[in-house]
Amino acid sequence: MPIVNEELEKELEFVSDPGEQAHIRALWDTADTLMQDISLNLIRGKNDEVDRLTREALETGFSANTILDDGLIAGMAIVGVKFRDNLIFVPEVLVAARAMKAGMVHIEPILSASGIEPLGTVIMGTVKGDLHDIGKNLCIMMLRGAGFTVIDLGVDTSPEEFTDAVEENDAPILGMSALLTTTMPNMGKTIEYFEEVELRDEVHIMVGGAPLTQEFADDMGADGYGKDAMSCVDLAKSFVTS
Amino acid sequence: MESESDSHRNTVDKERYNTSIRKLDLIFRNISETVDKVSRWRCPYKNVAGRCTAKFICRNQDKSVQDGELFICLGSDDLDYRSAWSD
Repeated sequence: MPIVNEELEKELEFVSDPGEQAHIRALWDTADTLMQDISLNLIRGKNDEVDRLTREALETGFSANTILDDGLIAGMAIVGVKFRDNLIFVPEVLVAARAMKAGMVHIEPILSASGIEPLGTVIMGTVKGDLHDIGKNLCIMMLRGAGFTVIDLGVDTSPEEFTDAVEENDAPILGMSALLTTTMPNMGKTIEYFEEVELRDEVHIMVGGAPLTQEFADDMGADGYGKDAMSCVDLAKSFVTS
Repeated sequence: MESESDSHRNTVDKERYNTSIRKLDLIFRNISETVDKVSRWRCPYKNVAGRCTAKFICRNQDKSVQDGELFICLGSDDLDYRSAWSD
């Protein structure tokens, strides 16, 4: 089906490369208008609408595969192009990722029922005293995209909150973020707390953040250091396959 | 409106799903590369409308906005924005 949604057609006009536009347009060639609506609302970051439309699509009889490919991923492809071309920025990408999560909530039980389990559960949080969350949120977006279940503890997270979350969710991986040199030491303190409560051997701990280095991560006893969101995903995958 | 047969409604084609996840992973990896590039010249908390989405205080925040609105970012993208951040 050609693109019938005018607003989506406008979004495609942002894709300046003709070859790329044709490629993305082809994603909707066989897609229903409902899939186009899901894509558009994902691009615009309207998570309530993506939530509603995904439910509607499943109730109407569309498969999880179709909704994922023609609705959610097709929309995220446009988000990626708009971001690359500086038409939108990190906050808009994260809002779109939140909308994608709103749709995935309805897909995940079907994946599970089909024997597709998450790669693992990851607890993520910014350490005590630190309110910076963009790096963490990008990691969460990518981890979810790779098939992990992520529990987001937000910012200013105490060692106790980290250990409680690991224990409650039986999570094999913990990710900590810090953006300030003044809060970096709280990562080490959190790792020490895991040792105190005898949970350290139960969890792989990865750390990241702009001021961090591999050396600092090694010194504080972390299992891995992610210099960016991509390496965070690669690290988490290495932990679940080791 | 098209719909699919009942046999496909509540199951997932694993091979197709794995292809989808690889595609999504590629999209996100490209996004991550762009983040690295863009964050060198523009604060990542500044949205497309030039408003600040940070939950912390920054000297570049113009707080003369209506209740509920995001602060306006006054930062110059020519400068290292990180020195303006505080707890």
